[in-house]
Amino acid sequence: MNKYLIFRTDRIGDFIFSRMITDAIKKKNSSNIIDFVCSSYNANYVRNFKDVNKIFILDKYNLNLMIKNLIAINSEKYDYLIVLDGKRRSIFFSLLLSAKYKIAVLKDWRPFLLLKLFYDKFIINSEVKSQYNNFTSLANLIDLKISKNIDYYKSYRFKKKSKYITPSNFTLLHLDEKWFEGFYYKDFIYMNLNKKNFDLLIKTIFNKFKKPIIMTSGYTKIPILNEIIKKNFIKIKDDEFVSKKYKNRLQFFDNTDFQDLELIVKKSKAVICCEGAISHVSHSFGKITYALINDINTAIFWTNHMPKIKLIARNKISYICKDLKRI
Amino acid sequence: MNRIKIIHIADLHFRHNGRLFYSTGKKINNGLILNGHNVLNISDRDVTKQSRNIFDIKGKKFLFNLILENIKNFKPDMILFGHVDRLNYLSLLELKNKFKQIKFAQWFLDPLIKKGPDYQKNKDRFFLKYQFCDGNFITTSPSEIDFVNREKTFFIPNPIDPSIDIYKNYLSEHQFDIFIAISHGQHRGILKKDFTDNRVQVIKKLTKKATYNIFGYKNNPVWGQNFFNELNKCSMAINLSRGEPIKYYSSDRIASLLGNGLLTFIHENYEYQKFFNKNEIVTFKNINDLNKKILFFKKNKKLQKKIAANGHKKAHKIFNNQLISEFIVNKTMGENIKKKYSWMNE
Repeated sequence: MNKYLIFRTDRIGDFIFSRMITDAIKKKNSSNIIDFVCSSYNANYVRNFKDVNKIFILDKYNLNLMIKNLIAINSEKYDYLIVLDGKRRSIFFSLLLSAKYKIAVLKDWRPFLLLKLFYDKFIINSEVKSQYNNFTSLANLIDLKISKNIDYYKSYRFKKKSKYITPSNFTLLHLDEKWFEGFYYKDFIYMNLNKKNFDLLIKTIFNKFKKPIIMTSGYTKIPILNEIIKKNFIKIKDDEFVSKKYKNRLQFFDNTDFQDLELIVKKSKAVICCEGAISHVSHSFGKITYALINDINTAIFWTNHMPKIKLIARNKISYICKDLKRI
Repeated sequence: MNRIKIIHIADLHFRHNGRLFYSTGKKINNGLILNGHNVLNISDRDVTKQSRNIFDIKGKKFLFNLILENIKNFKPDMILFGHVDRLNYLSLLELKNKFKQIKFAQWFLDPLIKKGPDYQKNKDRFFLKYQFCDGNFITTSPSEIDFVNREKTFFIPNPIDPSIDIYKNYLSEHQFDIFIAISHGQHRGILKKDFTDNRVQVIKKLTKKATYNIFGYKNNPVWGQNFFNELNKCSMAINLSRGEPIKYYSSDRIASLLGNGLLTFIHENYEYQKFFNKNEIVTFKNINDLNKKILFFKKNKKLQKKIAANGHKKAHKIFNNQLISEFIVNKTMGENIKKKYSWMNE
């Protein structure tokens, strides 16, 4: 039996992707212990996995908590310390932690000297290979074998009940901040979705799937999305809206948390979203998934482990609609 | 067959002054050239040996820059690595990142057996390049290795080169019955003090009723032309490899034994029966079985020569260096394999 401490202080999608490592650890020996260092943002979600033993919160603004966790972690005597997120805060914090074997995945920030001094090995999450292959390399370095068929939701506690009532057969359109300029990476291409072209997108989805549409969004409040909702929907109860034009065939669920979204994805027939946590969830459930991606040429880096996913290049809504019809 | 430009980075043993002129790297290199490819050689270990200085103690920076310059000038379609341990992870990443259009491949001859010698060391050496290579060619069956992707990892036998393996021992009578050669590493050349392994245990239990020409046990191994001179004094040979037998893995010495017409004995757990039938090679189950078979073939000279001749003919046909080199190129470049031999499907 070995004890593993894994740093994953970034987004929920990244954590879901990392399930391939936890899956391999448990497959190697089911009594292996896996603890996580999370951010306060993703910790609540990570808690839902029964195979995660302990969670330590890493908050760079809370010195007391850092010291407390430093002592607690060092008293655990880990066999393996794995920094998967490549964040500066994780690398610096982990320098002070002891483990028999320390390994890190690096992104753009690459402090080679520090790593040579304090780590056994590192790999770079470079786009030369897919992220899946990079993680396979990491797994090999610590004698783990990543399976081709990973059940990302093994040992997961789904939310028992959701307040959102969905139809039995529907398409999910997930409009998170990645759709709208000013809320995500600056160098990404954005879809110019607005109240004028919104109806074109909805009509295309209706024509393509011939099913009702459920629309959801992320945590970030987006003014353009609010305008779209205001113009096209009527509030029927708390956090539930129906379309003025399409009535119950188009609904918008507001303020969904990630676990609500998982349940909605689970019930859906097809999902349209930007590549990220929701596309991972959707692909894991075996749903027909259309994911918008910034660069189709480098898409394999992100989606190599999701062979059935259908990719659409991020572009203006009119092009997205054409691609949706075509694919 | 498309003729391509290949940079072959492998130890060509210039610093060994001809002692290892029959190395696998050289045989593969000859195969590539005979197939009409334009091959540029970089003998990595010779380069680092000659370029060490106080600012570049192991000569690795010099080697990396030399490789970069060679790629820029030669513009290869493929880079084939041998046992190149002088490039680190970051250097390989940079090469792959800078030259995305070039296909990368490696051949690797050392055992990748969990229970075998130097497993972790060999795995690390192989895996370092494996991560970046489009084709990986190993002398162990990929089905026995749990960490490789079989879509890009393939078995190759140890190659026989008709310009090097030129003898036909089955045609004449010899001073000794059995040739056995083991070593503690071909670069080292001489034996390690107080070191023993499973091969010595086998040698100690061999029947005393046969005559032996043994190197690497009690006396130092022989190299260069002396190796072939000593091999030519024998009619039969036992192929001994380090570690537990594993599917298809063998010391590269097997190519010299089969390729020069000696009747070759090999443990059945190496599963060479898949490539050679009982009229071409002799397999044994254990030491008693081996001793029985040695004595049988010592008495039955005619059959001994016949099997040795058949084995020689078959080995030159299916383990030929041109064939293996072409398999490496075609698999790496994603081209069809025209000649199909059983080892190509492993």
